[in-house]
Amino acid sequence: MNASRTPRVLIAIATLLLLSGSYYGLAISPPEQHMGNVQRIMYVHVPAAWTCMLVLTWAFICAVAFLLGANWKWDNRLEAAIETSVTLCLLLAMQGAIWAKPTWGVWWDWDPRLTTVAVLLAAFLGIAALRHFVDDPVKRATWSAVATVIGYIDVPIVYFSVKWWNSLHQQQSNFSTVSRDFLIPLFTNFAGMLLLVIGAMTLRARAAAVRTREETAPPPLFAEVSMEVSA
Amino acid sequence: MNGIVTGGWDFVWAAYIITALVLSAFTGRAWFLERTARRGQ
Repeated sequence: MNASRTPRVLIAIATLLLLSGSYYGLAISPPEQHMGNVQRIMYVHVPAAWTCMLVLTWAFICAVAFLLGANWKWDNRLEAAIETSVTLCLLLAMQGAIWAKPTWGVWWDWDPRLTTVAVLLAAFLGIAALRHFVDDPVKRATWSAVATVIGYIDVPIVYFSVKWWNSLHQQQSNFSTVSRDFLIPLFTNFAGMLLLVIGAMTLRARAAAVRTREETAPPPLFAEVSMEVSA
Repeated sequence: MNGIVTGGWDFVWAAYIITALVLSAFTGRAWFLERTARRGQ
């Protein structure tokens, strides 16, 4: 397959998976015994949470790789991962609020899980803003990589928050106790969301690569002089 | 059904529609930025 077409193919497959997973979750899966139809939100909320955690881990890997190797390709990938993390954190918070209202009676509560996710969203929104406002590519890449490594500290805290503190948010489920009719839409949507994000991040990293090449290229005058010298 | 949560479909639709809108906007933006950058080279 032509490499330039790969992200578009991934996005097309992801769209089909998300449509079929959502159809299964909305039309075929039965309502849950206690939460009724509201539980169907789980088929988009949990995949968004898993994908968000994976993308944040990818952002951390990109940041460390850039700091160790100073290769611009890792900065381009970091830019894509940071924007994706912000989008997924925001989506997660909105889905969570829609779930919380009928189940907990409130749109928002300063519960440990919700608060740690809000901190994560604020941190990565700040890193995205930092990248937007710093013009020097070297400073931008280094500062955002360091900030990402620091911001990533919150990711395990988000994951374990429901175990460490008395949280309104339920703990992670054991799959052996979850019905097959609930797992099919959950994993189909997770596969779809993951492929969609990989495809979109690849496109976003390519756009960042074009800008990086322009920013780090020698100025035209310098290029001419160096050509004359070498000639 | 002896559910402890009443209603629900309006919340379900809201969650799915917001998910579709956010993911579409995010993917569309990445697509647009890549195409614009490629054409501008």
